Amino acid sequence: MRLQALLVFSVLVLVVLNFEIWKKEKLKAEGQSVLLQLAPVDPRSLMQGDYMRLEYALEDMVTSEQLDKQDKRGHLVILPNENNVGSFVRFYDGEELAPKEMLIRYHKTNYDIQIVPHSFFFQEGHAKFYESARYGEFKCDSSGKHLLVALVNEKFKRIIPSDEEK
Amino acid sequence: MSHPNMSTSLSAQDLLEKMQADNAIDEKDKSALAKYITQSQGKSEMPIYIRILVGVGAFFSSIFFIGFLAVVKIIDFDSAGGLIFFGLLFMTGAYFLLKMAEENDETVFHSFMTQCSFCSIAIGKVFFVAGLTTAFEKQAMIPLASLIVTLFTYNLYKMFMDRFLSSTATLLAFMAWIVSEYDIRESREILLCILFLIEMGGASYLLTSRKLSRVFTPLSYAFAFSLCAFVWLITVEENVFSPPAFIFMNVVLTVAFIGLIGWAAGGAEKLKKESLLIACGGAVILGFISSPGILLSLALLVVGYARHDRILTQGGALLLPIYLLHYYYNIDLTLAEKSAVLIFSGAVLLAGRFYLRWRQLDREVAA
Amino acid sequence: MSDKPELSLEQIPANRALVEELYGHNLINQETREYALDLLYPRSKWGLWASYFLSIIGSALILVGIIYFFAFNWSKVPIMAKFALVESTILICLACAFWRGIDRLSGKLFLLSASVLVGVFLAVFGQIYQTGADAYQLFMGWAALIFGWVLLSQFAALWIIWLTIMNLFICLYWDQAVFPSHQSEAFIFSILGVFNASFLVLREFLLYKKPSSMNWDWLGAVWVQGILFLAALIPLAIPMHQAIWESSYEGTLAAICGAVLGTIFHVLAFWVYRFKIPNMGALSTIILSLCLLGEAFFGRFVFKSIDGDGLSFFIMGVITIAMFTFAIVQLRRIHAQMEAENVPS
Repeated sequence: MRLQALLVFSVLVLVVLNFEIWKKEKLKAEGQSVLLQLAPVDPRSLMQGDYMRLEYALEDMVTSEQLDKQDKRGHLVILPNENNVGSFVRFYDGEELAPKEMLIRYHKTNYDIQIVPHSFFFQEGHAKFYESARYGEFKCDSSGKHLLVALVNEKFKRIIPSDEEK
Repeated sequence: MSHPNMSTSLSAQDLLEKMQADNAIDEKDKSALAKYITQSQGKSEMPIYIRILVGVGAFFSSIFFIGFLAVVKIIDFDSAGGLIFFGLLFMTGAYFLLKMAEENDETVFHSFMTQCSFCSIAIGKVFFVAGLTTAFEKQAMIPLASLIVTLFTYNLYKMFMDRFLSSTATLLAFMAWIVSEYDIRESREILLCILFLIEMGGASYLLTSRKLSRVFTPLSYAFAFSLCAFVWLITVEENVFSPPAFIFMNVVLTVAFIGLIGWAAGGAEKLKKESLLIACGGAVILGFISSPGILLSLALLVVGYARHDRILTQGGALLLPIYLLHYYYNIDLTLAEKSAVLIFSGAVLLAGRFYLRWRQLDREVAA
Repeated sequence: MSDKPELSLEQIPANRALVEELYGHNLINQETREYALDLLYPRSKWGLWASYFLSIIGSALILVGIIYFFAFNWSKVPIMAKFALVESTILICLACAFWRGIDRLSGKLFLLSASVLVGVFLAVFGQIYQTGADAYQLFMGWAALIFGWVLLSQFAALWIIWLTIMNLFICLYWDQAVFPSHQSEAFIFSILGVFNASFLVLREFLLYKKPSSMNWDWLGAVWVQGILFLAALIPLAIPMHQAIWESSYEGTLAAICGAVLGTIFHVLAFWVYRFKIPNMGALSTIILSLCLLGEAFFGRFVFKSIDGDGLSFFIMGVITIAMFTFAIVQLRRIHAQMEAENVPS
């Protein structure tokens, strides 16, 4: 009896874990790509290895008067320019989007808005490759869910670390 | 975790008879013990919890009274003579208060007198040490004065907590003095090695000799405790020691640990020779990767288990994960290398377990 | 002490306390003490002891090693390979747990490893997809996912790990999602205290009332009680000290709530461990905590109302001695009564 219940729980756990992977992979494959400008800083995490702290220029484009009227969580409407770098247009209020406009989720803190993630994890010792990061590359779906897939340098190229070219 | 706690439901009578049959006690002992057991029903020793409560109470009250004496300036804290005089006065007072407490068995009076006495001896010792240090204006007087006062009071003032705290304070004071004194910086390492040898020797003797009376139990805990503090110093402040001193202490610990395994095997149960060798091999490896903390906590576990001493076992069990974490966290490797080392060490330990299983050594029962 | 008739030597049970007492009064030496204890608690089980020890430390090291392996965040290893690696390790652990059966220590250890590895999976997941999620979400997911296993395990160590994860989750959630105001900050102590206390109550209830025919002995270890007891007592004692010391806390609901809950806990715990489940260790801890609260209370009162000179120090010294003497007298009486009732200490 206990072993059977154990089996059920185990299957359940594995299904949940893999379903989460599938959701992220789908977003990564089907999402629309957009860049957000960064303002980086950097210490490290204990359980997950090296990482870099991120902040986005977009977060500073909102004035506090605009912010006061908004809910704790919501979506921003952003518009990518010719280099695909997104900039703030307005807060989303359920309206129809103009062509090229995209949604991105945010949450409010006491002082400003935040777009997750505020960190980027990489292999221990690879910090040097990411010093040139200027933009974060996101994949977004139409509902405003997003995924940070890579960091991008000032020439709009993805940073791919390689140990050989030290 | 592993203490098989099922008692064999013997009566006191059975126990005494069995012990006599095995020549652990003789006829005279047996009747003395039997007499004591029947007479002392219902009044037993204070459990350790109550002793700790007495200690905490004495700690707070002595601080308040020292504060009081300092503020009202009854005692001139700059005059060595005055401090020593009052120190001796308080200690004498404490001695007689404890005497009075022992002569009167009534619980309230006894507890009150014990509490006052403990508070008073703490004040007395602090004043005495402060007085001697003021008189000679030397930092070295702190450990020396503690040593003197501990030696004098240990046998006269029969309180477990005082004996333990006083001895521990003395040993720690020596360590602190050697580490911080500027004048001896040239010979600091040699002195530390000597102190380490003394503490190691003291702890080994006190914890493994079975003929000692209980008077020395607090002293043995004091040695064990200061040894833990010492090893903590070695582990955390690695730059205090140059490699030769560090290696020396490691070797001493390893040798002591091997000795301990031999002692435990000979005294408690004849282990098969081969597993004994493996245990010694393990000790050498641990010594080689220079992790004194891990060795020490293992040693505490073994001694505690062999002596049926729960304080030591629990202390070892508590220290072991701390030292393990500290060791692996600070080892100078990348995360990937650390991971390999950790998995390898874990696998070695599990291999040891399967070896025990294979040799059926984990099913040994008493002959 | 008690009016019980004197027992004869055959009627007095021989136990650890008796031997320790003979040793304590210097009637037997260390050698004889150990000899007697060996007779009472046959302990020729060095091999078994070493085997348990090696299993536990060995698996702990391997688990930490696995965590470090993923913390390195290999950029060369493909994403799916990483997931496959963690998941197959979880699967292996589960398979071994099935194979050994979860009634044996080895099976329980495998289940525990699988539970820890779920946490590793979540950490790796966050690392790969850069979710940057607040840490509370990781602990929340972790606690929720493994709860079924924990429930089935009948393994105290796994419960303690789960409770640790839950405590972390509560603290982080409070900090990262609730954004408490200055006035409500102190509520966290009440929440943690009540949460942990409810598991303490559950443990005592299951162990001593045995509501079903199931075997609850696995909850019996003293360290389980100790950890749960301290995990409930400490967060509930903190707001009481705050209420005493910090005048800015006066009147805020959070402080009052914490202090009231703390008081209730002290009273209830005293009652339970004195009359229902006699336990000297827990009682002494409660009394020590009460003494410390008394010190804080009188300390604040005396030092605030009596200025300067040594008088306040003197009064505090006297109060301390009086209070601790009172506490010790009470404890010793209780101890004697418990001895008479033959409660194992």
